[in-house]
Amino acid sequence: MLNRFTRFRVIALLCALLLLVGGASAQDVITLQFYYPVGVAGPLAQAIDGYVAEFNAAHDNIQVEPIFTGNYVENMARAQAGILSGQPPDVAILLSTDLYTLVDMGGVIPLDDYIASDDGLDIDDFFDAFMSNSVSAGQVWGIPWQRSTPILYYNKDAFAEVGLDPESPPATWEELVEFGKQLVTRDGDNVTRWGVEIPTSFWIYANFAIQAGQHIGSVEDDPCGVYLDTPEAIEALSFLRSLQVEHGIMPDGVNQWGVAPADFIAGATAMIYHSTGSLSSLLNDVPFELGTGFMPGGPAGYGANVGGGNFYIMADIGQERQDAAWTFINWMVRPEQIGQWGIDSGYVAPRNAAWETDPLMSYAAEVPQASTARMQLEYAVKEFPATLAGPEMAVITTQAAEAVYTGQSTPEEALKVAQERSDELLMQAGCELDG
Amino acid sequence: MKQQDSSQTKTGGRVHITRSPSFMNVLSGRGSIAYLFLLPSLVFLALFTLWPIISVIWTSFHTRRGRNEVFVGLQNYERVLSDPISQQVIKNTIGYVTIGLILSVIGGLLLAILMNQALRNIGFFRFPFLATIALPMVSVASIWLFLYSPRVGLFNEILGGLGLPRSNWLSDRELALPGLFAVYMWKQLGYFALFYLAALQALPDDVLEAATLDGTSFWQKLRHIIWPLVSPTTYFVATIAVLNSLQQVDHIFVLTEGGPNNASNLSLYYVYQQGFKWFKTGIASAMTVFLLAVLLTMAMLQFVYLERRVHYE
Repeated sequence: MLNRFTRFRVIALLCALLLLVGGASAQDVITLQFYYPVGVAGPLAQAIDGYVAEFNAAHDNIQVEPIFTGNYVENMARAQAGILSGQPPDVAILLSTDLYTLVDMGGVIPLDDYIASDDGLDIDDFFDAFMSNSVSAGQVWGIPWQRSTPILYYNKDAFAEVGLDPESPPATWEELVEFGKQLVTRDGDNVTRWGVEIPTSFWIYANFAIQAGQHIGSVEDDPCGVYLDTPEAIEALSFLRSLQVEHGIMPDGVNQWGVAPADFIAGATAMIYHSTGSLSSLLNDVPFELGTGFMPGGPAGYGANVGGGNFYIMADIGQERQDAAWTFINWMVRPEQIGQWGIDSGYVAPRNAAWETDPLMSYAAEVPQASTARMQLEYAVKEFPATLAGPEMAVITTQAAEAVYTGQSTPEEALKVAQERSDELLMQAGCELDG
Repeated sequence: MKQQDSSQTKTGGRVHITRSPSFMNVLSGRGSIAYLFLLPSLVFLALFTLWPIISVIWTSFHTRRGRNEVFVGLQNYERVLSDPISQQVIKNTIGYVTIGLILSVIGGLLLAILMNQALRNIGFFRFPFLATIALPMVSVASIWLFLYSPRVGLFNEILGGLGLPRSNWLSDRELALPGLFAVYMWKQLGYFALFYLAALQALPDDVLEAATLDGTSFWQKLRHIIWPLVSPTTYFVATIAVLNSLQQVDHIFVLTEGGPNNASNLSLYYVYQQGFKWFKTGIASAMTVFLLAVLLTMAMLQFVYLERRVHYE
């Protein structure tokens, strides 16, 4: 049993300790809240937490607290709720296409001063296609991090089996049809292997419109640009539908995003269109030789739209915290760091220097499939829907494709409805549209 | 102490009576103490039930521009009623709830009758139907996702094996909503049957025996004896069935996300889409107020009409 004096000393000691701890944390250590989503398969949250732990160990005065917030949509909802209630995170990875919505709310700050500062960043080293979604009104608002583009994955064994050259994937829409017909196998009336499976998604459909010659979104800095009812956009959707009906090389109806890789792995389809972010898991899981190629070109040649998330720094958190957030971002996008991220995740490392530095340089030499998406970037443009009301625009476009794939509407009708709906949304969001 | 001593000499019933006045005193005379005890639940009720209702009604009359909430009157309600997508959602929801209600009652009762047979090892047959209740909806939906899978799924394997045309279950405009419904029923039917099973086991044997001796058929027994006698349970099951089918949303996330082209979108998922995906809190709130109004009206109708007709013993 403690006597009274000892008890007093213990309490005094505890108080002193508390004061010390309190004093130390008040002394210049900034704790940043960092929201991030995970958008593709794989243990990516673990990778990001690992990088943050390294950053924290290397910095005495900044501690980053990584907060996993679910998928992109949930992550954005939390960030938006934070901004509206005056309690935003300090730094966040949000969709590059959320830029206009975030700027419109006054939720994020431009980063040009930081980029030009002593602790600056060679922003020209980042690929143009990724930067196109990061710049508005001449200012940089986001730094590319988990960026991707769809590519064509194909089964080299199946190609060899039907007498196609396993080293040359289809390069044009015509070849896609021709190869697809050769790759289909049947058992009676039932197809046992499809030629190609293209997920029903605005993000994949947008590439076909670009290949037909007209992006369904704006390639310029225009928060109101949506072009869903153009002849090229209709041509692209008609071509996709013809793969199901006229040519019979793609499963009829809606093809879900998650089903396509599963079918591909199981050999139920010989080719799929999917995010480059699926590369790591496909490399692990396919029981055959995995081929990758550009998405075949249409009447206007090759074309792709990009996707994924950028780093943003929030407004209303004070200069000191914003400075600390920049230090963190700049550390994360160092060439060797973001290159490692590319290997861990399958995302395209978004800057040249990463590809000329180890570990990514040696990895790309070893795994040639990893470079396909980067090379395709030459033909890539700004992601759709980089507009106001972007998330809803994406769903409207996917629904138009669904209406066509299920035989509910013709491409003309479905895209006309989609254009009307998106015009209405844009006007509600404050756009002034002609006509 | 003295009061207790005196009451001990009386009957059990009197003990209760002699004590209760002192308790009544607390309620009436010193009411403040009663309210003090009620305070925790009142606070929670106000915070988590009343305040959200007031807040959702307020939000339904506003729309967000940038960071500001602007008053727009009934515009959100007009939009919910005139928009073709929300119209389809309302139509889907009405169908889902109606069929859900009918099947829960009929299916639940028939399943309970089957489970109530005097067989040996009846527990073995009851188990699978009751086990589904314990499973979380997300796990159930994930299992069914594979069953429905168009190329490698079990259902299509069976159809293909029988030489029948395969179906693209959840991606089909006609089949997506029934597909969701099947998952919901598969999981919840045992739950409704459980209530009926309890009711059946409480039925008076003599009445049923008398009916059997009189040579009534099974259907006559069901129609004239069982059905009226389990009507309190039917009332309960009907209420729960409606609430349940309006509340189920997890399987939509896992299986269809409301697609294709909103064919399987239901009101609660629509509220989530509008409110949390697109931050249109005004529209989401207006839809929520509609739901609330429907539920309250239904509850009242059930109290007024159904309650009277229910046969209580």
